[in-house]
Amino acid sequence: MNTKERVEWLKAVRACFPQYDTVPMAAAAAALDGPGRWEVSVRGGGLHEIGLRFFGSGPYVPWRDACARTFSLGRAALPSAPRAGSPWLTAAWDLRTGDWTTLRLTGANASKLGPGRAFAWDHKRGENSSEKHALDLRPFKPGVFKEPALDRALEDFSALCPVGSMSIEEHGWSLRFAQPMRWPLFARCDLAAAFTPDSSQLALFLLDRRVTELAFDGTALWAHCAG
Amino acid sequence: MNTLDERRWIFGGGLTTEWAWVVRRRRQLALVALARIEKSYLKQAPAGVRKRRYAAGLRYFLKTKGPERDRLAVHPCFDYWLDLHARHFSAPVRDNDWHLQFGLFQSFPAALAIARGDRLALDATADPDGRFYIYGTPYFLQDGPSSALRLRIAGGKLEVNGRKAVLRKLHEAVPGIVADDRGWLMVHGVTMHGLIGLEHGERVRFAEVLRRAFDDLSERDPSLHAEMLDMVVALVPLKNPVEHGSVSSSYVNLRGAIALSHAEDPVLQAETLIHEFCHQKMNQLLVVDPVLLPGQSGQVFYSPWRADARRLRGLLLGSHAFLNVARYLSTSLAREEFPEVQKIELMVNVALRLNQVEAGLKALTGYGAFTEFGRRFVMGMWSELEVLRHSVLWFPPALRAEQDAVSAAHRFRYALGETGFHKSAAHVDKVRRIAFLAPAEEEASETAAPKAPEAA
Repeated sequence: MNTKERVEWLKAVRACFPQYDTVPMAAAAAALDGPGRWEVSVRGGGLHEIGLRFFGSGPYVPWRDACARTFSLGRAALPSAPRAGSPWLTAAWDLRTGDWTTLRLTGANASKLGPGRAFAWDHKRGENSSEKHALDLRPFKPGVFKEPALDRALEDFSALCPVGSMSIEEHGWSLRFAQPMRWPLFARCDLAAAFTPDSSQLALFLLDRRVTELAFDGTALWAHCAG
Repeated sequence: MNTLDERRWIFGGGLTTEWAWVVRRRRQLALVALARIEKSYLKQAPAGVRKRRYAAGLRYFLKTKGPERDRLAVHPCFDYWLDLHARHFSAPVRDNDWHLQFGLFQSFPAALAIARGDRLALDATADPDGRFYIYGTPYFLQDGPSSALRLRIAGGKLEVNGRKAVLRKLHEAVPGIVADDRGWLMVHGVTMHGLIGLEHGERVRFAEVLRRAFDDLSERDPSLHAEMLDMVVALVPLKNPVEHGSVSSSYVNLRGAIALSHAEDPVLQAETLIHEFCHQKMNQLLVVDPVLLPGQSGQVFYSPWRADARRLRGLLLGSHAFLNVARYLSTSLAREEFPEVQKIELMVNVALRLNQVEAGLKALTGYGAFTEFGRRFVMGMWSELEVLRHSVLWFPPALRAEQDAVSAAHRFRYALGETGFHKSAAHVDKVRRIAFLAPAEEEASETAAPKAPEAA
């Protein structure tokens, strides 16, 4: 989504959650605005946690400095240059506290797949340094996890929603879809079961947005959605 | 057979080659499962269990081919027995469980040997109520709870523990379909609504009304009636504690048994039989085609029939069952004379069902992904729904308008706008609906549940 769509979306979130302070999240997003596109993220089983994702497309250093300023981080907390390709930043927010909880800066180039082709730097609220993780980017293939239940679920899911590529790390994974799927159709899938208890609430502000990626961060599933 | 004809599955299609093919496929799967169980029994059964001649019954049933075995292998209790084994024998179990599971199984080889006139000696176990059924017949033995039985069968005669068996008979609604309120394998899996044990007179009356319902069905929908007689073998009475018109249930692991409460109205009983039979038929069809692609039960959707949400499969089964019910009632109205009050009740029922089926199909089509047959099946149901709309043109316009309003009120209360998503008021009102989704008058209250519009 572009800036206008992102602003409209945040208005919808504010209308749905008038009891929470969403101004800091909107301000942070505005501070990062520039060339690039936005995605919004929702957490399975956590209606009060949502995320914003910004794919920068300008020069890296000014963008990194803007990230550091926006989230009050020391420059050292973010890498001097991402390892490969264009970076993107994912910020998770807890609406109840009105504050961000985790940041993830990812650098990857999807055209160069394989282990070590991408890295992510995770930053938790209250910590001064970031933790670096290697990501294994690869084309999606059923059976990769060698866990029958998960592998079967992923295979069924990919028949309903073709998955283009996946990334695997020590405690998590993500599936990037070949074709984004509209939220209401994504929500019907078994793999979206974590979102089911809140699906009618989520539908009020996700509307028919397109889910581009389903990710597991080690504790919860996240659905990342484009405009 | 590679391609299913959706037209014969939407409504009753009779005992066609295609019907027989699906039944055969179900039977093959059941026998494959039994062969696997025999292997694991021979390998894993404790020595004390193996001393009893359960293996002889397993072997005899597996090796004896013929129409008698074919019928028994698709008996609902055979279904349930396989399901019980799958659920309980993946982990270690006590000796008593082995005796119950494999002792109860002997009902099937015993029934087969009696029907064929074969000689067979078996050890068996009566069920926890002391009954031992000769499946495929209305007969059973009564003995002590879970008692050990030594059976000897020859020339179609049964001896138990060295004496000629004294058999009791279940009441039959129609030949081949018994009313069974006690059989352990029959009722153990009936978990929705309460079971009821009937007195003799009540059982006779229960079966009598159902016989009338079957008779009516044979005239008004002979193809559906033929399928029912082929598949259904037992009717289990249910309690109707709050005096609903009727309560009923059927189960994917008990295909061929229908559980329903007693009602004096044969039309209502026929409606219930059709409804539950349609679920059974779809559950049987699953063995050859899943209709819905796997992997899409994560979300629950607005159900036009209930206050709670349903999965896509529930919407599919509901739409199919109520489409059949609506057609049966509409045919009945066109063919027969009914007292004025009943006629209006039936028209109300048909008008409401058609709207509900439309709502069910709308969500199903909007959100579901189907197999190739599934697509044809669902499109076929849309087509049949449109055709049925013609059959109600003669209903009083006010009656139809009233039912339209009832359906709209239900949707307003339980669906998220015009979408297929379910909305419980308490759930959605945790977050405020944004202005363009909420009627203006609701803006004032964040917590009040939305009110249904007044019926026209």
